[in-house]
Amino acid sequence: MNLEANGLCFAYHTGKPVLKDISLAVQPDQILYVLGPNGCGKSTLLSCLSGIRKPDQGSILLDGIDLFSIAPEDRARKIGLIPQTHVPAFAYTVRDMVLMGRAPHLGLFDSPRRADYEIADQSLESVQLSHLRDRPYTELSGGERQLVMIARGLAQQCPIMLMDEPDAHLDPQNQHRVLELVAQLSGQGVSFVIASHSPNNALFYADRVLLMKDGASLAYGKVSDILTEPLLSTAYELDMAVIGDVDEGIPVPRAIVPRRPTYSRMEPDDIERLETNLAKVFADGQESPQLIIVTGQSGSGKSTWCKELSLRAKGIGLSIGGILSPAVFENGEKTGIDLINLADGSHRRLAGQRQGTSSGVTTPRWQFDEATLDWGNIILGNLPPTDLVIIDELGPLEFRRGMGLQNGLRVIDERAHPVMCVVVRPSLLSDARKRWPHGLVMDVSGKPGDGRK
Amino acid sequence: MTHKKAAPAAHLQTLAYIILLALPLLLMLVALTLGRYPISLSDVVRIFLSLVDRSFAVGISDTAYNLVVRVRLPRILVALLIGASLGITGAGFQGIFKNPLVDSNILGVTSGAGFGAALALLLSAEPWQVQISAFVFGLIAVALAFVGSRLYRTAPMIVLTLMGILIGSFFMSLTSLMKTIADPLDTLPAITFWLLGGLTGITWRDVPWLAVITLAGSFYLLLTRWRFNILSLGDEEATALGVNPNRLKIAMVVFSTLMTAAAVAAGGVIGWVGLVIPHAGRILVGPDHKRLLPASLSLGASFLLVIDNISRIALPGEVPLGVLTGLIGVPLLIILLFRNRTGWQ
Amino acid sequence: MVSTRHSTLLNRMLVRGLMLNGFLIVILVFVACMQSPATEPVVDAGDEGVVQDMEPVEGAGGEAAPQSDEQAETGGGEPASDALFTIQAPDDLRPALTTLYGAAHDGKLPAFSEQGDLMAVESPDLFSEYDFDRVFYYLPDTGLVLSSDSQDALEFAEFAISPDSQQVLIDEGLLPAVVTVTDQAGNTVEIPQPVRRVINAYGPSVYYLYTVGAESRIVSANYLGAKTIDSSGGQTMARIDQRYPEIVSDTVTANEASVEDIAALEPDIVFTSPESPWIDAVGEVGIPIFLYDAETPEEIKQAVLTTGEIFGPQALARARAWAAYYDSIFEAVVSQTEGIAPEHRVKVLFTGTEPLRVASGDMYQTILIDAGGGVSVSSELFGYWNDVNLEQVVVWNPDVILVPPYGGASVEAITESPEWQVLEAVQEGRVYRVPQLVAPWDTPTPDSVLAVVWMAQLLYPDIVDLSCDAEAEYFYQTFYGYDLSPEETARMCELP
Repeated sequence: MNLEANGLCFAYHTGKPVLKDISLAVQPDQILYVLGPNGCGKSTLLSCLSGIRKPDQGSILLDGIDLFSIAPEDRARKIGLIPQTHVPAFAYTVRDMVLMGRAPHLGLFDSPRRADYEIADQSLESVQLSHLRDRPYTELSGGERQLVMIARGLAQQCPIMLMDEPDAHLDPQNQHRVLELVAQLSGQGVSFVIASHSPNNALFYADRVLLMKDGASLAYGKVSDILTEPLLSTAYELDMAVIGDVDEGIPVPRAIVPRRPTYSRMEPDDIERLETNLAKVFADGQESPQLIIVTGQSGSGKSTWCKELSLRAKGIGLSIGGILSPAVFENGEKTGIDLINLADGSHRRLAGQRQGTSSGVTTPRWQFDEATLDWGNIILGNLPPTDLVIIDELGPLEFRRGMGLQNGLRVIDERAHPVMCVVVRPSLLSDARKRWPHGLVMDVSGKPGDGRK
Repeated sequence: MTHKKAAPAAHLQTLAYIILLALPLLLMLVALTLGRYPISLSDVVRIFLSLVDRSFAVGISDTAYNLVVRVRLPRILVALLIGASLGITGAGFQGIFKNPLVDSNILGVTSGAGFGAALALLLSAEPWQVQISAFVFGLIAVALAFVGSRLYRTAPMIVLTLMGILIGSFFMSLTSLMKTIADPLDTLPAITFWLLGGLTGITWRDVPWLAVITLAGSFYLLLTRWRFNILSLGDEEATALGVNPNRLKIAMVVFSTLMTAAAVAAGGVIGWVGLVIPHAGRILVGPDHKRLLPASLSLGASFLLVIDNISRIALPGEVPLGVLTGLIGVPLLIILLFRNRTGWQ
Repeated sequence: MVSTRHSTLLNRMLVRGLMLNGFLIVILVFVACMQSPATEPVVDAGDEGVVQDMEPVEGAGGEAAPQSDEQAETGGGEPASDALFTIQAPDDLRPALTTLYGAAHDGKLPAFSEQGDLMAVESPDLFSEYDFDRVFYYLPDTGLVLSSDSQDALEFAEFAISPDSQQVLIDEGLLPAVVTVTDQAGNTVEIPQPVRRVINAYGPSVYYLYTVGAESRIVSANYLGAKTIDSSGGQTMARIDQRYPEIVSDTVTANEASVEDIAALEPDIVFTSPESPWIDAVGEVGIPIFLYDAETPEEIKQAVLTTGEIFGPQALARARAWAAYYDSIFEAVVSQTEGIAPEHRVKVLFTGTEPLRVASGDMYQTILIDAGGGVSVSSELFGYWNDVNLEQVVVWNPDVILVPPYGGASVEAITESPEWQVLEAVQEGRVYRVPQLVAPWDTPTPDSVLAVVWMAQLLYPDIVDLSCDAEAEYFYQTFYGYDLSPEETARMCELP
């Protein structure tokens, strides 16, 4: 029996389509996997295919006949729905649950007869759960419930079964047990449409895959055509990797996993060993721009580290640009912040202690000098092509309020320099990493001998 | 295929099922011999035999004959019918609402009927007019809840429940209003008594119409009883199994409402039966509605007959049925809920 | 019939032994008065003469001087010689009467005489000596007795018991300015005197006001058995009291009343039952509230007597007269039925709004049955109305079944029911409806005393020597000032 859907559109609320122009076809013996992230419309698609919901547009054909022209009980004899594992309000026995699959075969006033009980028992046998026949369904494990639901589909004697997330909430053993049974039944002529958000099982069990995103069909076809890194990455909005073996020269995929973003940390003393990690950064920087995100608690020596870096870089003959903003100390007290142009060493006072602040405030409040900020912005806006750019530092003013040294953000975004070093405080690290996911994080807090001078 | 041996629990349930079905008949025979007026068992038997052959009644006083035939028998029958009605509709409503904590008043039928009776009593109506008013307002309440639920399309069952509760509260407010304007000397006690339920005034006149409605409704519910299993899975699954849940539910609600309204009209507001009986039924025969509905019918009839016998016999003055069902039913429900949670989760 | 009636009338006099004595006095007085009508036609002409005759008497009292001074100050210039009637009073009662007379007649002086149209008498039980409508207690235990047909004397006597008169006597320090009583919920209520405007919200208690003669002070009332003018009780009530149509209210009731409505009527006191939900709100406005809660004979008597206290000397005296009558009826029936052995007493079933709803032992109805010499079969029940089943009624096997006259209860509901035919009482038609004129006789109203007479006559016609007809006529004439029509008497007292 063939199930075919063409151009399905469906919306619960007008203007908010859940399904957009979905087409698919299932032949006997086939297992069609509908993949996609949560909320992409898989369950709605299944409820349309099972006849629960009528699509707004498009057609569903069962052996060429419009699904919705078929009487409900006839339809239910051909298409069975195996819902996500759920707990019914009443603790029916396993046998009672399976018997309910006989509903489309019985009249309104009929109750199941001996023959129906036999079919139910046979179905339970097929899923090897006969020993649980008189147990309450509600007391079974998730995997067993899924199998009982499949048995109900078998008792329903329908050639097409729709399964909604059979692998959700199941441990690997139970997933295996359920899906092996699906594969076995598929071999006996039952076709399956399985909605899932787990692409790995599709890799092993699917004949066809429909990849959905935001209610639309992203791709539809054979497993090897669909389960590719670019398509999966688009569907899941995640860098996906297809990992596999090579068998006799042919790559055989074994697993689909998200690729972890490159996230490496530099150690503070890497600066002392420029020949090691930092040297590698500089080496890589010649091919693709590299970013170092320097962070650390206030007073942990971020500016000092940057200054050190600039000196060492100069020492190995690299050209430097950018700005530093070291603190100014008087009598052991931080009294201000300077802004230094690394290209020529010129500096201006960036901030002084705010006067007349409310009493009792322990943290010093800084009053920034607008003219110096403009000066810094001009420096950053006209950086010559240098090997290393240091920007110390970008704070909430820049990240959150769109003010201050905006040119600093732009310089890093443009990635026009081989190596860039940007200083942010820990509270902004997540903003920085979101903006520049490939940056190497350098936390100078733990550096021995750091702190105030 | 090999016929597997059923678990012991299943055997016990089958046994319980068979006993339950015979229970009302047994209790009825016992109840006929019980009463404030002493009539011996042999006299009761002879009175019954005299219905076939007059000669058996020789030597039996008219009083005894009349009490058994005119007073005890109709009251026992009405107790059985009302109990059966409340039991089976309670089980049915719990099934279609997928909620073991509802009963047939979920759609406001009892509250509506209570108002109808209070209104008629306030207007000093005849007893039969009170019954008709109760019956009609019971139906009106459910009809209002149903019409109200149609205003909102997407989740009809939840809205129907909500509307039922709202309409029920509305009619209860109206009943309270009736009570405040009722004469404390005459109509107020009449309303209060009616709202507590009781079968003291039952005569043969009450039996035929109650029997017709209860038996017809029960017949329909019993015919479709297996489908309640499927309805209890929810609308979507029922649809996927080829069942039209809405059509089935409407028919079920119509029959149940007629039955409940008739029961309330005949016996006043008798709470708890529709809630407790299905629970007890599930423990005895399991949650399968194929057995649960007949079991609830039997158990409800038996329960109310026992309660009514207590009310009838224990004291010279009758304890209102609604009070007794609460006093006995609530502790019973608490025990059932905590001791045995089979049947629902 | 006639002979029975006479004998019971006589019997009633015997029961209240004092009364015979009283009637003799009345007759004597009446005879004495018969002589003055001879001079009546010349009242206009002989005015001066009579007064002149009186002057010395007053002078002899030694109190004429201040009165004359006052008279002179008033400057009316008219001597106290134009009094329209004469008052016979001991010296110590004259000052108050002079003040009252002055208040009623623009400061004029009354004419005292040895044989006046009015007699001022100090006695607590004038009602037992004189006709009810001829006694006017203007001070505690001190009343005027009207002994002639003088319209002016009657008007003065009526003035003497009015709130205006009460005010004069309060100013004189002869009556208290505030009466403090305890209501039936145990509250102490202080009631400034006189009480001129009354709201009665509780249905049964309105009849206490009629019994003590305070009905003219009602501004709004709820009537048990006569809720609206359209009801049959309302029609009767309108005949009893012509003000009824304007004062009956079905909006200010014990169950519900708006504080605003109550305040707008500016009442001096509000009567209701402790169940009224609005008591506290009305209390906030500062209106005295008196709560009635009477279910036993003692409580009913207390209710009537306290009501009397609230309305002044005349009301209190009437209340005492009613209480004496109530007790005398109870005692009469007890004395006549005490010889009946318990097993021979008639078993009575008192049903309620439904045939199978019966009165408990705690209810007034059971006390009335006991008072009437019967035995209530359902007295073992407690609380309020109880539902029972017919089998229980068969076990009780009552001789007589009583049905109340309210709540849709009917004799036919029992007699026409095939099920009830198992009872001998039903087969033989011994099912009766308790009578009512307006207030049902089985309720805690003054009228309930008649239920005892009615029941005693119904249960023991051969033993009890009381007549429902005679007592009903006497009761309504005396305490409601209403003459029953023969139809009304028959409707209440005639047994089917």
